[in-house]
Amino acid sequence: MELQDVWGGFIIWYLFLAGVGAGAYFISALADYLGKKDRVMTKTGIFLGAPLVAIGSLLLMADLGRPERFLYVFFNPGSSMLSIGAIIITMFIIVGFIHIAFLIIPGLKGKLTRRAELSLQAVGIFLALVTAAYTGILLGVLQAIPFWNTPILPVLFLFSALSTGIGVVILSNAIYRRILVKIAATEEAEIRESFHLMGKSDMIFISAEFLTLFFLFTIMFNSPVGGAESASFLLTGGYALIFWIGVVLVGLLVPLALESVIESKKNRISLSAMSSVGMLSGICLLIGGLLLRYAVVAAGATAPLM
Amino acid sequence: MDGELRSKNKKGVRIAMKKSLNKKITRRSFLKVSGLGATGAVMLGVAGGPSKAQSVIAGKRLAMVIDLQRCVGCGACAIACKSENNVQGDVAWASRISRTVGKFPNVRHEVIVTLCNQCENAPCVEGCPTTAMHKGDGDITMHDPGKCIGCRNCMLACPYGVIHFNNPETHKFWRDNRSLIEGGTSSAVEVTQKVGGTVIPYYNPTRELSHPGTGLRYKGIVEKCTLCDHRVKKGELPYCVEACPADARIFGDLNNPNSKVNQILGKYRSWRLKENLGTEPKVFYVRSFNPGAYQKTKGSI
Repeated sequence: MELQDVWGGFIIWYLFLAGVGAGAYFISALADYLGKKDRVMTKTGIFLGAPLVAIGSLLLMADLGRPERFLYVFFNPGSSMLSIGAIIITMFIIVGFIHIAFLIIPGLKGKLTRRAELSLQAVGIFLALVTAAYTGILLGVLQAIPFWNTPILPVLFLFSALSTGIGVVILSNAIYRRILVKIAATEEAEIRESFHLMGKSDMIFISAEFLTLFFLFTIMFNSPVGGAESASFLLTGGYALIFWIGVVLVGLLVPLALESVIESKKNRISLSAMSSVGMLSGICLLIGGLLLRYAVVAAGATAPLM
Repeated sequence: MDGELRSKNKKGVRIAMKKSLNKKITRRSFLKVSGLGATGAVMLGVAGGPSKAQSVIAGKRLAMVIDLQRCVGCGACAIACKSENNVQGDVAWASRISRTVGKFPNVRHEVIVTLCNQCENAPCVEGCPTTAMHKGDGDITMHDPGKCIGCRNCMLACPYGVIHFNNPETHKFWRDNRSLIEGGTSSAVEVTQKVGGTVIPYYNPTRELSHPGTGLRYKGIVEKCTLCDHRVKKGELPYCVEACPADARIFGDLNNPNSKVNQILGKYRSWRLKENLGTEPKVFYVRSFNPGAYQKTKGSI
């Protein structure tokens, strides 16, 4: 079994950052649509979305053998998934930064009507979803690595993007509320509701991730050749520690447990304790998301020629 | 109307613009017609150009048949390719699978030579975001080094692993300044300086004739077997085919019913690598590396 050595560090970070950024934007924009009033929840994703994806794109450029030629991908739209993806990410970054501009630039602040903002957000939500799914499609269409060449991979990366998006929003919420700003008594109910909503949604996404991982590994272990090697390398081989402890325990089980604690205790838990738990949960989700991308990319093995 | 245009500026004042429409139309239409005529002439000229210098291999579907029975596993093809194309130290565009299969005493050894399969449904072409990987004349899967951005998507799309990424420090072997015996043998750098320092020793310039500037390996991009398009376009065989001492590599045009490749493919059952993936490779394998006979028997229970 030969592990691929074509794509490494920069690509892994890009997959992670694009997932987190797109997921965070989606979560915040969705919360806004659902009429949530907590501004930290509805705005954090907007502020983090485009910048995180933009940093990811810079890493993509740095990874190129000829970075000075990166514009060439835009001259042949539709020639490959990579060029389609580049265009989509660029559109998301542009829309995201426009949205941010309307939120912070003095001359533009408040100039956006509610309807206009919702329309902009709708476009942003769509682009965010496609950006998050695209990180999985980029790997999913590649035939040389059987472990990646499955439609389940974009699904896994999408759920992971949504989950890490929630992670970064919870983390920001917890840091902002706990450390930066004193919480007024009137805000308390709103903040509790935020944490509950984030926690509940994330529990669903984490469960979906578990299910998708189960599907991925089951099918890979029963696929002709190539996929099984990668799968066993992750489950019982060289990367077993990273997978079980990093991806499963830290990235999925711990946040799930913490969130169910928040859920079960409901109003009996103090706000500061809730935000501490939220902070820890957010950090674990982010670490797990990065390690998932690392595990999938690094464990990609080529199938033998004969 | 006599050609008077009325428009309002910001203050609402009417501004009348008199235009001598007749004259302008004449001048404008003259420029238009002459412009169109010039463009048309250029286009015809361009269209006419390639048809004159049309490649010897245009319209062909070039393929290769590897006769495993003729192959002796000498590896001359691999070395020939490296020398013809100035391929770098640890890279091999023409390679082979060399393996022993089975458990003693029921073993066999086989060598299956490989190269870029020049797939008709090339996944590397599909995966290239800049069309640097493209299908060229003769249905050769070509690579344009001027367009490549080094994303390596093609490397991961290709199920055969025949695409290689050029180290940013190209031709590393010839940059080594250590000598085997100090003061006795030359170092690689010394030998390179003896040939001027701008090319590598044992440099083959003919490869550059069809692709200027690509004689040496280009850094930061991917490269692979080009089916020696620089030779093929002149009507010569690829160098691996030429170099094979056993005539185990047979080159030809699938579109030509009388070509040697079609004759052999008609006569013998052939197989290709990873046929189930739908890449439609054009490198076919016939016969067996291990022919010969075994003692006649009906077997037993």
